[in-house]
Amino acid sequence: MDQFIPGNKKAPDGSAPFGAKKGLWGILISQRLAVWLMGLEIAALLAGSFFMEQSKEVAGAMNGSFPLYLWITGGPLALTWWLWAAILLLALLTINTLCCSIESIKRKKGGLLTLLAPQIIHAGFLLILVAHLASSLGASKLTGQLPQGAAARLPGFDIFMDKVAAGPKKPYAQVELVSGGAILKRGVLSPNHPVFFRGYGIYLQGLTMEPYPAAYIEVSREPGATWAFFGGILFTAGTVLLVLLKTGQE
Amino acid sequence: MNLIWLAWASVPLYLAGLFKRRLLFAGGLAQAAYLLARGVMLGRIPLVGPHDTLIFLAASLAGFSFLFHAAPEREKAFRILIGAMAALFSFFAMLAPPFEGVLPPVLSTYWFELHVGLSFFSYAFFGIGAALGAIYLLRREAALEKSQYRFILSGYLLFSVAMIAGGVWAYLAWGSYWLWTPKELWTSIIWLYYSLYLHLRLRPGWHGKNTALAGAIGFILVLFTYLGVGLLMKSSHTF
Repeated sequence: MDQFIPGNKKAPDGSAPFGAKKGLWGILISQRLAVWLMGLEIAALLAGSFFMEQSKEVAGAMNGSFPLYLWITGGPLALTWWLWAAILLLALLTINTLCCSIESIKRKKGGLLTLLAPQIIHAGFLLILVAHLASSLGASKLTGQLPQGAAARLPGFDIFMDKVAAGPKKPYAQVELVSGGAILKRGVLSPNHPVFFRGYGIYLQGLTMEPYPAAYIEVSREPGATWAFFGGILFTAGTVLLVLLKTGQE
Repeated sequence: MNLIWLAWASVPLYLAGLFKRRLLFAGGLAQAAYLLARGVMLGRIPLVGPHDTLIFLAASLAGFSFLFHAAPEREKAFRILIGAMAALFSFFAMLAPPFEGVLPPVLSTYWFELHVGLSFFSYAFFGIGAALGAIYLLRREAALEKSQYRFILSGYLLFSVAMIAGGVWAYLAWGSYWLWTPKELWTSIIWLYYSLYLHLRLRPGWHGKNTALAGAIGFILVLFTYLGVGLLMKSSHTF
């Protein structure tokens, strides 16, 4: 039976701890720093969740039609401080994550898969952060009613509402994306089935048949979506690998 | 045919499971049969509202607990904790009315089912990890802490996949993979907390009592995110 040895200063895998090195690099690669940063990040998000509950109108604007960047830079610090704190901590955690990964690769301890699994997770995490950054700077959302037979103008093309119908199972709307009289794309919008074109997503949010058939549509740009998806895939792949390795080892 | 009696039967079965592990399994089977029957009746996976989800969580706890094998003494304490949690969740599930209405079209997608199903599977793994952590704190046997780690790591994987599925679903439904609401923040808190746990375990001098306790506390955060945030805070997860 394995027993923990009192006073054992080694990690469970028997390695010397990260951060045993001195100086700035020693601090940057330290797991202690990672633990502190994650703990403080949790505290910032915890504060944010209670703030959101107390200032619903202000917090509601975080999911508004403009990028988060405008919300955080335009709002008073008394209302946005927790998000500033969360961003600052995430920035430090990013540096810590990168440095830890570099140090792990330099040390080359253990087998290739043991070395790779945490780095793949770290890469996935960083991609997700890049995604949030891209979306915070460039996301936008427009909503409105588009009657059947009418069109809405977007940069570079128009959305023409061809047909709106309640449908036997779910509502749908047929749209044509046109420019200069030419149809660039035809599509059918329904719940969970948007149409994507030139970086825009066109969504059906509802429809009405009275007093005239019309669809409520949302046009959004989410520049971080692809990054977030691939970040998530990497993160999962790394965690699967870690689970397989640790289940065998521990 | 209304099979609600199967769901009711699971409560005494789980309580009896405190004494006999097979009865714990029987409780899980009764709930699985009930959920299956409800799924057939409704034509969808029954995972909407506290009635369905608490039953799903209790059945998952009972089911996945069979992945843990140990000597009789340790197994007894484990069985008592899992049986008590499953009985409690099942009892509260029976107090909530089952949701039998038509789902909003936005919920009719595999992404939703994957998101919710995997979330509750992960909660069950975290719950089992908490039980093992509590027993470790009493007995201080390294094997228990290692088992806790394995369950939490597996739960972390399921939780991560559930979050990705949720992000894909939100992107296809609302045009954004992330919404700033308390539920999302608490989800991030859980994710960060278990990331913290996994890193803490690498710290010298921290594995053992501290990580066992941290793993057990994590399940309190999970329960608050699941039940507390929904009850106390406005959420994107209210349908």
